[in-house]
Amino acid sequence: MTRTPVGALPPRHATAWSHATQHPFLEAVRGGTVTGSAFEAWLVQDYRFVSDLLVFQARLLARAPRRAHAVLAGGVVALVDELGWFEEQAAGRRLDLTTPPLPATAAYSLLLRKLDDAGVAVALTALWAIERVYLDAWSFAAPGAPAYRAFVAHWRTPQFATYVAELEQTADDAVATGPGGPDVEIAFAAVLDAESRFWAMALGDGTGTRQAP
Amino acid sequence: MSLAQTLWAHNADLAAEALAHPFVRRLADGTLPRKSFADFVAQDAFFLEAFCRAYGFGLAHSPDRRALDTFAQLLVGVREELQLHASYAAEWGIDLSTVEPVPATLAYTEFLLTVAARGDIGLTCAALTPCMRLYAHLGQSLSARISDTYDQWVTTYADPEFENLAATIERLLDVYADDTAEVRTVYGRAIQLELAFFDAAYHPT
Repeated sequence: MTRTPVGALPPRHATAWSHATQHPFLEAVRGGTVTGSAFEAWLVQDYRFVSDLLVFQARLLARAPRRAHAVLAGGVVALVDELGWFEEQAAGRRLDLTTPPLPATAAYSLLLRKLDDAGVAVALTALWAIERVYLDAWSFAAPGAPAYRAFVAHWRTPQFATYVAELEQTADDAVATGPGGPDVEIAFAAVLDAESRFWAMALGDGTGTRQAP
Repeated sequence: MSLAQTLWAHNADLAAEALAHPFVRRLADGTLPRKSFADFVAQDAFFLEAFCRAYGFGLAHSPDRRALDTFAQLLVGVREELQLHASYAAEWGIDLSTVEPVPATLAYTEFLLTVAARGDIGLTCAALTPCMRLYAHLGQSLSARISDTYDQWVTTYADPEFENLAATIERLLDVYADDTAEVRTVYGRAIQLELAFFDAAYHPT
């Protein structure tokens, strides 16, 4: 049975995709209108998110088919390095990484825990969506205002783009050979919603109330 | 003596049995039938994929950066080991993606994953360490008397880099495991499963 490649999902969810990848927070990073304190508060929350993502991806590695292992293992190791990078940034800026999660961060964490119980094809599609949104979002924010330029560059390296492409191929393989269907669409939409709320958190009160793009 | 050293010393008889196993002996002197070695490599590749999964559980349950960094380092190591298996497989025309595990392989992988899924890092290390320490021991013991036939395999496990990986997981074991009856049982069971793995792989002719 031929199934639709996951790359066809963004155009099918065009409005939500645009909310997730072209959010006003990203425009503010590009234009330099976001305050340093708002950016740093978001950075601390993103550290918490990456910690949750690492656990999700490590669990996925433990149950994914062998052909998905190389890309998942490489990604897990990169996430461990990424946490170290966050810790360096936090030390330099005297940020408290033990700050409790804000509601949008907690909601994203809950979504990842639900995806632990989803089929592998659904979980792989969600993982690809998370990373693809991140890549496209920071590409949208590029080059970034001078204060944020190094961050934007860090989150859109060619190596990261290659990894996202490998994840797409892996998700496609899983969707083509396993049960996918409506659950893939639902998970994809849930990721986009969580991403939009995560960006909105940086500009709002932490609840992640969606703002119009 | 650290816990890892105590556990290894406590199982010295099984380690000696592994070194004297005909599969290992004939691998060292080059008389092991090629089919036996090829089947072993295929089963070992399947087994190492389970190691990757167990490291995944280890990472997911890591309580601190030390554990995270160590499991990440070990995961890189096992991926490199799998690349070696892939190169053997290519050389001998084995399709690793279609390998079906034999009962001895399944018994070992199911044991590893059952322990690792519990999320107790110390116990996970107790299940994973024996394989690493035993292979480092075999590689180092055989390196002085290896024939040309399987020298690449022995060289890999005799390499100081592999010793470093074995020592790395032993340090993690020392930090996160206590000297309990369950830890001793899990460690010993893993070595017994290693012996059963060699038994299953050995075809005398």
